[in-house]
Amino acid sequence: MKRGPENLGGQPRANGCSFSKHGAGGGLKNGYVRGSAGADTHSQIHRIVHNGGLYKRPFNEAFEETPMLVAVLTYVGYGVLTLFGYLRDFLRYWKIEKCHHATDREEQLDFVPLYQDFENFYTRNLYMRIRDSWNRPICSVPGARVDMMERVSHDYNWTFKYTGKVIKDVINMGSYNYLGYTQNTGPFSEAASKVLSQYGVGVCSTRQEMGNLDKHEELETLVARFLGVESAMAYGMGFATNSMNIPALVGKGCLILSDELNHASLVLGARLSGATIRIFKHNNMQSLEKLLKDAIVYGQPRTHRPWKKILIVVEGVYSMEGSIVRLPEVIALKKKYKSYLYLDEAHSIGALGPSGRGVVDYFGLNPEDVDVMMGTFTKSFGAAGGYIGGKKELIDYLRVHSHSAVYATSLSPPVVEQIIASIKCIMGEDGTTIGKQRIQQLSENTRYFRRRLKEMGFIIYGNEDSPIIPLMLYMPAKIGAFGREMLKRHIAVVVVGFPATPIIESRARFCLSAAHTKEILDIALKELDEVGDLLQIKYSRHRLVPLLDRPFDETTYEETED
Amino acid sequence: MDLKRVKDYIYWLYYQYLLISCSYVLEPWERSMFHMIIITVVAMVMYTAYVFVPIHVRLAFEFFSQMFGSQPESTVLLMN
Amino acid sequence: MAASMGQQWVLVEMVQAFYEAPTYHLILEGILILWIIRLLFSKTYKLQERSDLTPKEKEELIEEWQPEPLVPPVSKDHPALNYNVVSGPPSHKITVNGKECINFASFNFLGLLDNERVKNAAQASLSKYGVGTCGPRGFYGTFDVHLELEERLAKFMRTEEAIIYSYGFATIASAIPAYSKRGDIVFVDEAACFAIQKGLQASRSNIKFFKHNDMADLERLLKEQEIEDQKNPRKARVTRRFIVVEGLYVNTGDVCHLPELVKLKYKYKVRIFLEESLSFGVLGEHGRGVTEHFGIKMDDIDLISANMENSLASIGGFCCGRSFVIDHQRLSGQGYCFSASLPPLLAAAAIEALNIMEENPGIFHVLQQKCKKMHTALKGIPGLRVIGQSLSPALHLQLEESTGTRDSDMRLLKEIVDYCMNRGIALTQARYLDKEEKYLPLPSIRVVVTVEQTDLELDKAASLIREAAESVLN
Repeated sequence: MKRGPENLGGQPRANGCSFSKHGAGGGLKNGYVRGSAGADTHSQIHRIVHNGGLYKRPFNEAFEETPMLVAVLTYVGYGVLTLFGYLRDFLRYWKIEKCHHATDREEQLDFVPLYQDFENFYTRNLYMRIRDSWNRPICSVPGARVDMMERVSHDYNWTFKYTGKVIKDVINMGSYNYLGYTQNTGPFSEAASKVLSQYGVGVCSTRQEMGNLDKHEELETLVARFLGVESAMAYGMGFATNSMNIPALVGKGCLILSDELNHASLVLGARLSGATIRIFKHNNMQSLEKLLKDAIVYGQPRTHRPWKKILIVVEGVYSMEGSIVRLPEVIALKKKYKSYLYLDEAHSIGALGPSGRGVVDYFGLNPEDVDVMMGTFTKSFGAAGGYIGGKKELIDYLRVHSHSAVYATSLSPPVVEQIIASIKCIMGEDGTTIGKQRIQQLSENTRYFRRRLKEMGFIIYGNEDSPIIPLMLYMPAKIGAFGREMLKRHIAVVVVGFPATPIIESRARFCLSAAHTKEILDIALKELDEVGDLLQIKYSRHRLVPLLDRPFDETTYEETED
Repeated sequence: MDLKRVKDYIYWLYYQYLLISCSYVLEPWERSMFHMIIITVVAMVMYTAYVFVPIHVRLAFEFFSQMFGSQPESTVLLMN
Repeated sequence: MAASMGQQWVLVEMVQAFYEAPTYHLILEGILILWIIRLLFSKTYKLQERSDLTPKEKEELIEEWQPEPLVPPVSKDHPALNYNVVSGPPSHKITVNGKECINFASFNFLGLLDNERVKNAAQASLSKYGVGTCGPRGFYGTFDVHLELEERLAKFMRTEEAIIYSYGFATIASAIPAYSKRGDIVFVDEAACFAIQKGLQASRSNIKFFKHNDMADLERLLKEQEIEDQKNPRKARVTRRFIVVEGLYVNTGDVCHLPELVKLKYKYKVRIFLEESLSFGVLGEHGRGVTEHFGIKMDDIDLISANMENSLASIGGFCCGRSFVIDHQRLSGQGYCFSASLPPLLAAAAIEALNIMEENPGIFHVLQQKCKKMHTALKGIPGLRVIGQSLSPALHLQLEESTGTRDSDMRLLKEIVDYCMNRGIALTQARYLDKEEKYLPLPSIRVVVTVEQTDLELDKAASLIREAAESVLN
């Protein structure tokens, strides 16, 4: 009883839409749609469990609603800040207050201003007040613990002074070091060091000219083997992999269907390609199917000619929501509507799946069903750069037409070696089981940390298996307070606010790593508990949702057997 | 000991007030200005409440007693 | 007069006729009008009905639709498909496809790629920080090395501030759209490199190309714009204007006319963005690039962008200028905000390379001498034309007479390259994406001069190219 893709539309997926939020335009719209979601305002938590048909494992993604009172208070907070922002701008305008920010040259004051003042209202009056929570400089390996440079500001974050002191052994919950391969000792850095002394750091040429080293070829063969695809190509920067290769794949007369929360690099690449872009609701398959159907039935706007091709662009794990793409459904839709799939595995490669091969492996799917497998080496592999994997025709085409291959300098050899060594370790080709253990450790850490946070009563977003854990803060003052309080307790966390999130849904984000031991996690959790009480951010009204650590639901099991 | 707990609690309350009102991130002079505004507003509300509430309560009381209670003589006279 | 009288008369007659007509006639006409209205409405209704497809029809349409393949097939012998394979370091002596050659192809102008000091600095950094940074600058991806490199670059370039990117291509491509938005106007040289073109495309600004290094043409465009502005001063007051040029054009080997550009800047109130990937570490007494070459004040240029992948022989790029300008990129430069930061070992290598540049300013003079020598040696080869100025370390050799098609030209040049490669000189053709370039440069062989090449090697290369040209072209 294999449920074909034709059943997709008919499955009860009401919950899937009810947490649809922030519309098009990069999620900048105010996010309090969730509260008015209607039908299920009673159930404060939307649990979406997809055990049927396409899924071989339970798929639990929770997005708790923003409590009404919190939403109102958040808006009040922004109101206060905006009022004071206006006041300060007024004072600055009349020169009552000294202007801290740099100004244009005297000689060029009659030029058209380089950037509009109002563009910077938010930066000047909101971001600047809590700027100390970002760009914190570190001075050691970004491993499980990290040394940070102490800095102080005597003018309310307009400038920073380094005291020269080092804050030692801060627990690092912010780096994307999923598998803990960022190390300065051990086989990986030794291998990199050897290559460094042989090759040097630079390449000084592009792949197509004189920058195609034997190391690059070795890496590409290995990546292809790791991903289970025919061929692969590596590029010098993850961001550029997206923004410089999408234009090579699609162009005018093609359609790109993009998730609303896709990363800036995908958005840029789509824009540069000249193709038409339509945006579907985050991880919402009904929205995607409707767009696909309409696109094929009605063709291009005005001319009504059929689209040349349709490319669906999704990410494996979304870095701000911690959600995992509903890949089985996306693939079913893609097959049904004969479109192509571009999967960005920046955060999922290495971090998901029983053998660390990303979201495809996580769902137990065939890598050949994904047309373009993109990912980065920055995160799980502790290096830099990006790759694209797929059919041989695709990679051959990219080798000829990729902007990166023709115009950009290729990867640095020691960085390549780090990637090779870490992939070999993940694949177990170094003769150890370290890779396997780390993948296991990461998934245990993820489940443990998520469960404990939920039990404490925080609102956390995302899939239970995603190593990115967003913890909701909501109020603007709490962004700064959380970052500072955690640093005071020697824990480095990432806090995110507008414009990376909808204005109301400011959050802290934890990135778990296989390098985190249980002790480290327990310390972090203890401090989090304290800070949570101090800042009153345990908003969850669903106090006890003990996450059932069942590997398989009974019903799930039966259905997968069919 | 108890006193210290009360003090801590009050400090904690103040901290919550700072966080919720966003005055946590304001510079000291802005913060005191914000406090002043809040205090003024609250004081004015209290004052108006003190001045007007008793009158309103009395009037309301009279009104309802007119409606439900026995009619005072004066109104009867007026009606006549 | 008479005509209008007549018209009036007709009108009066009509009204009279209306009064005199029998009632049934009026009713009939009324019904007719209603009928016409109905017809009109029913027509629009029908149109709607036609576009409303039944689910079955939709299914059929979906069934029928056949998309193009994701990528068109590439022929097996496409000239760009089969890369040269370099085994070992791409330094002065290079092994290409198994043959040992002297490198005349990599942009390793100062020979810092396999410099021991640079390597040692990178090693030290590697053993302290590991390889990756595991985060963007904002989220614990800022290392002390990055701060140091930014400070050093700013000091070296004598500007207030510098900002580093983790990828050379992304530097100018992110910097331009950080300032130039929809509706703004960018004047740009036709020979501008691909990264600039992509940055302009991302900015969605109004782009005006002027002829390569032709200041008169630029002034013509600026004047045209001035006239346009006078027509609509309201719009002009919010339209930013930029000139984007390269210091030393990678596609032509020409130096931009910076002094004239600066004059035009103040005359027409346009800001100048200067891309110095090739000129940084090459031109000028201390290698500060084209500004130093012409003795122009840094402050007269609004933004200088360069990559660290040529002279500095590392990876990444940087922008420098006044804090007012540069700071804006820290929140608006997409390639800065949304990308992982530069691996610290690469930053450390760049710092050490800067040290070497500062310690031996003589190196730039040596490079200049070699460039001049190579330029004269390559001149006058029958059948080949040297493109680029004598101080450019990257020269282009074009065919004097095209054979007719680009493909056959490329094939001829490839034969020359192969001829040299077989005899120990590694050269490369300049590669372009034919369909993507705005103004596609003619096919050429790029000859790169570095300080490591001895006079003997330069002579050998020049005579070999001459020999190759003679044997291939005749």
